[in-house]
Amino acid sequence: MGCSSSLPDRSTGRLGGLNNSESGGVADAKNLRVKLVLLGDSGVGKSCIVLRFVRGQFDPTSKVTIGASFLSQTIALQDSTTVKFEIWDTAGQERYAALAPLYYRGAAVAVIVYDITSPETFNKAQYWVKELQKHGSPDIVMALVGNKADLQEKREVPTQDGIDYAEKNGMFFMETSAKTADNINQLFEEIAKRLPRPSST
Amino acid sequence: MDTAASQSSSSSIMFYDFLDKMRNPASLNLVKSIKSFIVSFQFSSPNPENDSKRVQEFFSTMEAAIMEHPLWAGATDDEFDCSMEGLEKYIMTKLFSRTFAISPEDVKIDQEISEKIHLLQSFLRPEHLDIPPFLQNEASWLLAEKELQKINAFRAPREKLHCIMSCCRIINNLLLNASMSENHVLGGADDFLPANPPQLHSNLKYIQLYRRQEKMISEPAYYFTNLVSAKSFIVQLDAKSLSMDEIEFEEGMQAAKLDSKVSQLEALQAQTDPIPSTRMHGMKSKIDGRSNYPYMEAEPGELTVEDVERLLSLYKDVVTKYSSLCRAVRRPSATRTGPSLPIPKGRDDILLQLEGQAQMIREEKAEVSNSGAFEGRTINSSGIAGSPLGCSENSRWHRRQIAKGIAVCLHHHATSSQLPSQVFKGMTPLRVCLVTQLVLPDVAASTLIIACCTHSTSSLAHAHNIFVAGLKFLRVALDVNGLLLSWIRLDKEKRRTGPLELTTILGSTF
Repeated sequence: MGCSSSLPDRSTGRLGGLNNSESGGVADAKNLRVKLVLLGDSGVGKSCIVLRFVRGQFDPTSKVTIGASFLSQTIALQDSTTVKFEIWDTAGQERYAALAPLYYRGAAVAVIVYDITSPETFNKAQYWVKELQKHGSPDIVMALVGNKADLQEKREVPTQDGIDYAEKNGMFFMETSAKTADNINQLFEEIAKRLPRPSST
Repeated sequence: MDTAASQSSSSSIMFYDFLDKMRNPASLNLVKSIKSFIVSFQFSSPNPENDSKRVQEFFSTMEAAIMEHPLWAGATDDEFDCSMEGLEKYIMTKLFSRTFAISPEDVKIDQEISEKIHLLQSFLRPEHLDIPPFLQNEASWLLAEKELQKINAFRAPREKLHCIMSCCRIINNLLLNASMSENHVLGGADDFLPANPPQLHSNLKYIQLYRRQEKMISEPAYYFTNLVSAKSFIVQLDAKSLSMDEIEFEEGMQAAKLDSKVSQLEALQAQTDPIPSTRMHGMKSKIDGRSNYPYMEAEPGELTVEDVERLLSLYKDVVTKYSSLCRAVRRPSATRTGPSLPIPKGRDDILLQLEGQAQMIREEKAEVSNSGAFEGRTINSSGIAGSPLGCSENSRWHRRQIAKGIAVCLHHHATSSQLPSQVFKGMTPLRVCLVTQLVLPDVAASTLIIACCTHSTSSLAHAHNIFVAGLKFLRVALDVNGLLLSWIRLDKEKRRTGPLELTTILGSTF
């Protein structure tokens, strides 16, 4: 049976049976398929990060929305494996907060974004961390991301605060700028490295 | 764009391919197991979670069997996948009535959601969800809505899922095309449920349970989740979820509920419930357009909390009266078909006139709707804005009913002088006056009715005063727009005369 990478779905079914669809990762040692959910307050730039990562674009007026769209991007790692990120963006507004579990259920990765110029968004990020610790899947990989790092002069959340909080919670931390593309690809590469690999090879 | 239609055609090709393979004698063993599964399933008692497990397990078993089967030897992944889709479609089409919306709870939830959406649709506006104006292009939403509405045309989980995807993709494209600022983006499509597809909950549950699990991933799963989240949002929705204050929300919901109750009542031809007695307002209030309707000139900013409370109680009053009037109008209509009462001489003419009047109103519907200026404004000026009557469609129908009702009342009046007062019980004399003026060409007849309605005094003089005051009020309405003239039966040249002349004309008959 030729395992074509164009149809990862099928291999999932064959290998894993029923429960596999609930888990974010796909058990193919070489080619991972990963469900990644983005959480964070409205306006912190979640969509911009994805857009920069997937399309290499940044548009301050954001003509393209990915709020309701589904984007995926495959990256190749040095060990000649690939990781396909399936990125589930979520609505940041408070009124939709209660719906988040529908989105992060079964996610292998959660990227929690805040805006370094806004302490409230940092608080909100901490809320999401707690929520995921309580209700997310136990082996979820969490990344804390301080976005808008290009706005140094408006910074209100010190880098150290982010580092400390992430460390305390066993998360991976990075400051990014979707505008300048700073650390965007690195973010996803680092996440990819941290993914648990299927043990069977 | 991948529409449900194109999907369904491609899916029927793969379905026929599957059926072809099943007709091949070589697949007899597969056919046997499929048939026996369907039969045994149909005989078991329904239990959604368990059913889903059984179906999914059967898919897996069949998947393995098909993979090993000589008929599929050398088949590509695509061909193999098509066969599995064919299998899903075949099984689920056969088991549809046994699996879809099977539990009473689901049926109930479907109903509740549908009702809630229906209620919300009557007052919820895009801005309440902070959807920016440039996204409020209804035509595009309509397109998305149409895709979603197709969901009930399909039985296979895959096809239902495709309807959702098409809908979401249209919304997606819509957002893509609209230039927007990033802040607005996220809320827009995620949660705006454009349509009210029947059995939304059951459809979602069905897809979740019976779509092949390995297919519920990636993009379809994301869009599916969007709709599930939209559904949950609606179920949980209250004022806090909206950019709307609580009073406004509650009021909107109440009004929508009453409105839909009234239409239900009408639809069911509500039987002979006793008319709830309501206080007689208005008798004591000054009968003058302005002072009686002090909020006509008010700006939203000027209203105090007390005002809002007063307006709310006024509003409820009007709605109650409207409901009881509807019922009252229904009642004589119903008895009318019973053993016919002797029609007194002289009344025939009025009856005929009134029937004609109703016809005229019907005909004028077109004329009126051509004039945008008329919509709502007269209604406002008669002080019933925001009531179910505020809906112009309703009000025209309503007037027609009143015309009929009054005709019947007059008819009954010969035998029972109670009926007219029953009909108008709970209405302010002013309102009675207005209503009768609108439908009765005969001023004397109006006066007669009003005389019957005013419980406090049956004196004609009093009725006359009320009537004149009503005319004054009518004039205010006429000032707002001359179109109200068309509701009153006048000769053509008289229609062209101004409001002042009209008063004189009508006044002179006293």
